[in-house]
Amino acid sequence: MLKTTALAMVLGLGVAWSSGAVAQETLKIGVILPYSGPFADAANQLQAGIDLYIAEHGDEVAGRKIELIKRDTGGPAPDVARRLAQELVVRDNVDILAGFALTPEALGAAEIATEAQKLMVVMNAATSVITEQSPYIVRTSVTIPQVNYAFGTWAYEQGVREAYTLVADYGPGIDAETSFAKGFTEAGGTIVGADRTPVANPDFSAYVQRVADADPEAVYIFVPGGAQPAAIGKALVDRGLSPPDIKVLGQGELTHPEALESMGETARGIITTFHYTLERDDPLNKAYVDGYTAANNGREPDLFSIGGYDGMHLIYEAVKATNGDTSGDALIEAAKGMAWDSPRGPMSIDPETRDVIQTVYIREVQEVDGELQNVIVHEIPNVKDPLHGAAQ
Amino acid sequence: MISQIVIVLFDGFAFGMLLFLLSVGLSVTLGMMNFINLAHGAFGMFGGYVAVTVMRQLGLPFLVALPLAFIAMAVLSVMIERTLFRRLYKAGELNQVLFTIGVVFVAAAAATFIFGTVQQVIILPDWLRGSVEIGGIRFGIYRAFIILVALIITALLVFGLERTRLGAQIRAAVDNQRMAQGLGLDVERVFAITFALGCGLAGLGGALAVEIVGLSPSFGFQMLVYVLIVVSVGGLGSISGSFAGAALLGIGDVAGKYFWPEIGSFLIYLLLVAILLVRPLGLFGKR
Amino acid sequence: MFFGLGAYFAGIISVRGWGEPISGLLMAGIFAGVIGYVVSFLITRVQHLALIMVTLGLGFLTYELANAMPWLTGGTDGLRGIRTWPIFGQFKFDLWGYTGYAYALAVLFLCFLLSRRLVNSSFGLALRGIRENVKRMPAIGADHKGHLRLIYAISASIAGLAGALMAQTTNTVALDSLSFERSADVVVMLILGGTGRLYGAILGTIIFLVARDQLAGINPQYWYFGIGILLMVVVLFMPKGILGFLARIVDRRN
Repeated sequence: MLKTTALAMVLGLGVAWSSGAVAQETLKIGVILPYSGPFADAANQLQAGIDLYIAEHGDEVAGRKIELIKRDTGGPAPDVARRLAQELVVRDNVDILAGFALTPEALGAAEIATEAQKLMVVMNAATSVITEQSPYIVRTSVTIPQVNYAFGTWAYEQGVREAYTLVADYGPGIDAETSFAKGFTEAGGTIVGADRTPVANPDFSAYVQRVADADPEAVYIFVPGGAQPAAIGKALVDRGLSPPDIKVLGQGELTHPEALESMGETARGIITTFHYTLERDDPLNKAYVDGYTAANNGREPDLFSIGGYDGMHLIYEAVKATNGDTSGDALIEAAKGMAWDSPRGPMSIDPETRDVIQTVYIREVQEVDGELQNVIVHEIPNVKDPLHGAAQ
Repeated sequence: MISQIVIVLFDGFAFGMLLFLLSVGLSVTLGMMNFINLAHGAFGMFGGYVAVTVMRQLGLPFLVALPLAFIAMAVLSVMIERTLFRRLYKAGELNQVLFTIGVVFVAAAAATFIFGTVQQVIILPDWLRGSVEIGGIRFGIYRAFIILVALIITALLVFGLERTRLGAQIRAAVDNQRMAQGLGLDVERVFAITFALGCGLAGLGGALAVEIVGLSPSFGFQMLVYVLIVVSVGGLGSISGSFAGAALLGIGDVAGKYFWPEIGSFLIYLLLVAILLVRPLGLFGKR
Repeated sequence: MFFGLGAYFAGIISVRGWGEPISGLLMAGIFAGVIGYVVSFLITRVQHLALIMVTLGLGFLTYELANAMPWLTGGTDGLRGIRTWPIFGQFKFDLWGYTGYAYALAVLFLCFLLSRRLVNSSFGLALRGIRENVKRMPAIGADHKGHLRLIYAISASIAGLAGALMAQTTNTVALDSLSFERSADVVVMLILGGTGRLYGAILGTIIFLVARDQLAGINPQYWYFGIGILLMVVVLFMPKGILGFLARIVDRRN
């Protein structure tokens, strides 16, 4: 009994003591990412993008030294993300919250950004609604409807009339399914079948067989990055579902470099839509890719890296614009309408939705100098997220 | 319709055989020593890494990489068994669980440190890629290869267990450990050999699995659940049990997802709960 | 699993417009307890590995169920729009977390008192009898399955309370509260502290969480290496858990 009371007092004291710190000269950025667990690779690639930007641009901006405080959520864990955001604000006195690879985590932490009035930079999580959750959120990655709605329209224009959709059964997958189908059917196409696979799916053969049975003109695929793109790609080939017999469409993760390597020759002809293309011929992008691979043992940047890189760019420029004022209100005002040339191409922040506006690239896997690459076949500039405003 | 059933059976069986290789070792060691080794999946993971690394760095062919994964894991497991695990045979179940979870954590961190978080890729030789068409049905060549390997290994295991001296010793040790010891059998030595074999097979399974499910540092955790399901459904200490359990799980999983995609992910768990409630010892469990 | 059920229950009633924390907490506890009692009829049929696997299987089923019902649970995005009203209409859940902290501490304290009462009651004695020897209890006329079912329901209800607490203090609930990893963490904490002891659970939790917080603060990429080593060391050198180890040292002194 006595022991418990004593324990309670010790714990209580601990909290009171830790909250008494004072603001310092350094600019503290709290980075919340799933550094461990199934999404660790995303977190590491994003972190490498952040690190590259700091290495290139120095760790001082507007007279303030940048200090990153990294926190691990261990997977899709919104309550952990929220708690970490709270601790970062209260205990570590961070000026800016950043990171957020996964939608649930961004949603979990949004409320903290509002309450603490801190700028929150979402560097990956790609569900539309995120930026609507707090007036302090700005996004530097991509939204799923942004790349897929236009893709659906484009597919119809290319002469595809019937498509089958196969997406991972979680928020982003369902978003992709909806927005692709919307773009496609509004243009006049028909969705002949739709299936959803479990997020942690070890074996795709059953679903792919269902697609093969339906024998559609095209199949649209969305799966989370990592092992799944290669796995589903190979399952498709095993069933004879590969270009040119059938059009295989998907979001960019499907043909990221590791997946291409693993699929080999069979990946040829797959068409994907994305906001960042590794091989895009552009001096800025070349320099970025070279710098990145040099700093990461030859590993190439991907969508996570570019989100982190541009996220840091936004923070640097915003802090410069406010002359070191790091209040959430000042920073978010500075971020609104900001436009710059990124390695991904021209991009800007929509002043109304605080969401990213950028070029959508449609790419086809082709052979270039004996290697399979994503070659850009079409560009759609200045695409906004089609869902913002639609909900209101 | 018939061709669809055939293809679902084929794919499910191939996936099941992968699970069989990954889990048979755990089943036998659990049945023999009551040692709950949650780190079993970690051996599968490192087996996969060994195969990937020797193929990439040394340029060895796939068929050489597979036995290397087996040998490397067998050797590694003996080292760990002799130094760490043997202290725990007399410890309680919970302590074994805690300790082996600790091992999984360390293994995952080590894999991250050495190989990075990136998904590993295995490049198959051309003759294992693609598919063949028989009677209008397309069969994946690699899946057929997995089934073949698993069947050969099952045959070897069953033969070894029934016909060799070591097999007899293992059976004796599983059936009644005290009695076997009383008869002068060096149960610890038998166990160490079994453990090495089991972990070697997990390594082989891991190497084979890279192509189907990918490989990253969280492999040990991901596969753990499937492996535990196979072991409990099949019953402890039984090769045929693991075989049947794995085949059932693989086919059930694929068939469920094919015929009822909406509830596909529930099906294996429903199956698991139902089977264990009717037969708490698993399909082939003896005790 | 019951943690998640309680969390979702508290979260969902809050989304549906009932954000009063204390009644919400109690209802979530009762809800989890009732489900726990129903499930316990299945659980008490099996033992050992089958027991673990049946509980795991049920946990996965609940997880998939929650995932398949986005209209109720928000699916993978998590439940949004939870608003918890101030406690007694006075204390708001603020950014600094004082209210949440005091609230959680108060609930912990009450649960702890309750558990202590329970352990020392005749019911607790019966449970200890079951722990020492399952076969003998029916022999002396005790309904051991009934006892087990009841304690299972009670512990489910406490887990539900914990889940509800999380939902109310963080205003978020997502699928991970139903996940295997969450259950595994709890088991690890328990064994770490020493099973079968009330204080063990508290000590184990504190050590695990502090270690994780500190290690993850030092290096977010490899912190689980440290945790793994910690677990292995504890098992090798303190087989009765940390508390059991301390108790033995104290015994020796005396």
